[in-house]
Amino acid sequence: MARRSLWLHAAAKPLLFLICLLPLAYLVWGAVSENLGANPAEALIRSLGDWSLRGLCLTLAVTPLRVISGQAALARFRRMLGLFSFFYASLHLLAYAWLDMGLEPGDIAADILKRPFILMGFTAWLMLLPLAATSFNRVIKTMGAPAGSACIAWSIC
Amino acid sequence: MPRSAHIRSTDPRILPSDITPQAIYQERRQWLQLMATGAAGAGLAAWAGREAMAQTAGPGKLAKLPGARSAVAGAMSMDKLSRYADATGYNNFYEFGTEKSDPAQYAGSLRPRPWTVTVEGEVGKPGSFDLDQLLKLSPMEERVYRLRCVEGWSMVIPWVGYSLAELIKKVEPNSRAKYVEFISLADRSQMPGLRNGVLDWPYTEGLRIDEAMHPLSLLAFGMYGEVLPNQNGAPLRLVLPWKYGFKSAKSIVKIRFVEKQPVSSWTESAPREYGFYSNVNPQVDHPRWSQGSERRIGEDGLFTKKRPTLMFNGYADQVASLYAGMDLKKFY
Repeated sequence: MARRSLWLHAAAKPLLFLICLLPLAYLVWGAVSENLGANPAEALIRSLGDWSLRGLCLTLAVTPLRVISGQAALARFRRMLGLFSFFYASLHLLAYAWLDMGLEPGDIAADILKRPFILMGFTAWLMLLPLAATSFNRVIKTMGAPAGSACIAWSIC
Repeated sequence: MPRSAHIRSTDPRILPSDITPQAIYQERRQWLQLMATGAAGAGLAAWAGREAMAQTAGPGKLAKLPGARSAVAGAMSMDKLSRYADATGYNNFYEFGTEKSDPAQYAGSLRPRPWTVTVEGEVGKPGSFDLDQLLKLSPMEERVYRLRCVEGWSMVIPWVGYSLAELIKKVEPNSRAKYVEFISLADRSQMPGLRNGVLDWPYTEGLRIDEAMHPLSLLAFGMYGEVLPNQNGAPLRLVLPWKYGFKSAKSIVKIRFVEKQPVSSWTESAPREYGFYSNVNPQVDHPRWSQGSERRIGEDGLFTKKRPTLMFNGYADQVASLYAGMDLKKFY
């Protein structure tokens, strides 16, 4: 099957990797060339959050897509998509902590506790953290799961 | 007003050749600014820039509306002016959409002329004012105000207009006029954002009569030496520098003098978040974010720490007495 060989092509994963970096490249370019509008800090924080949400939706869509389409090979992209969601979520958190809070630990802690929507975002990031930390093949093997089910964690989340 | 009306003189003693061509005086202005920037520090540059644009600073897109330097206490902030592009491209004007770029993109459909403002309620002389009448009602002043948005960002804008008190005195409020209500235009054919139900249109704002009479309360017709761009609330709006920006109603069509405290649109939509007074106050946080600091648009770099927000946006000397004895945590 032509489609199947396409998913399994050696370049498929590196290509997806590059595609996942495009939003970041766009934002970095925008920040450097002052193309992020009047309030670049706000634009950066928001789009990083948007992209982590989009990534999460894509990650969660992999399994249903695989089942519906019968394209089992789609599963090999799930971990990378999940990790990129975590990557953008971490950048989102970093941008908030740095650009909005000036990296003041006290201010950040107080803000997270005080504001429901910040607390929710932070909790979501905390939930992604163990999934990302246990996503390496080696860790998964140590934890006793077969390497093939590397992304069980991502499908649960 | 067509721009040619300002270029052609009606005075026969002034020859067309006597009038400095626009290109030349604009070049001089640029030259002045350049010189100031190169010669001295930021302070001198800001000063020279201010002098160079004393009567105007607009990019020549709209009709000129010069104003004399205001003598009202606190009316001339020495902060560096925000860029015209930022002040006209990053706006909250929900009648044209909720994105910051929406007003600049969609406000072209607003027709700021002809325009009439109705004054009614507890006044001796109610009536309708045509825009041209209002423009001539009192001499135009230029005032440089800090503008603090409730969302935590700020700008510095040179407005052109006169104290709202000038209009109020003309209509003679009676003793029952305790509050003033301001109603903005709500016309679906001109304002595409009205289709979304974020707020209950028309946009309504209110002030206590003594707040409205305060000399800093500005009825603005222009900014940067030109008439107001549509996205900034053309053809006339309020500017209340010690209150969060949303209190400064735009594109006003009705002013009503009332006995009972009016309910502003934002208070109606979220009473816990937006009070009637909405004075800038770093000690009273918005339930969803801190009001202790702000980001100055176009000036602070990406990694610059946000600057502390000042009580009454730095206008405490002028307006704090209006709220003497009031619990500002309760009357937020």
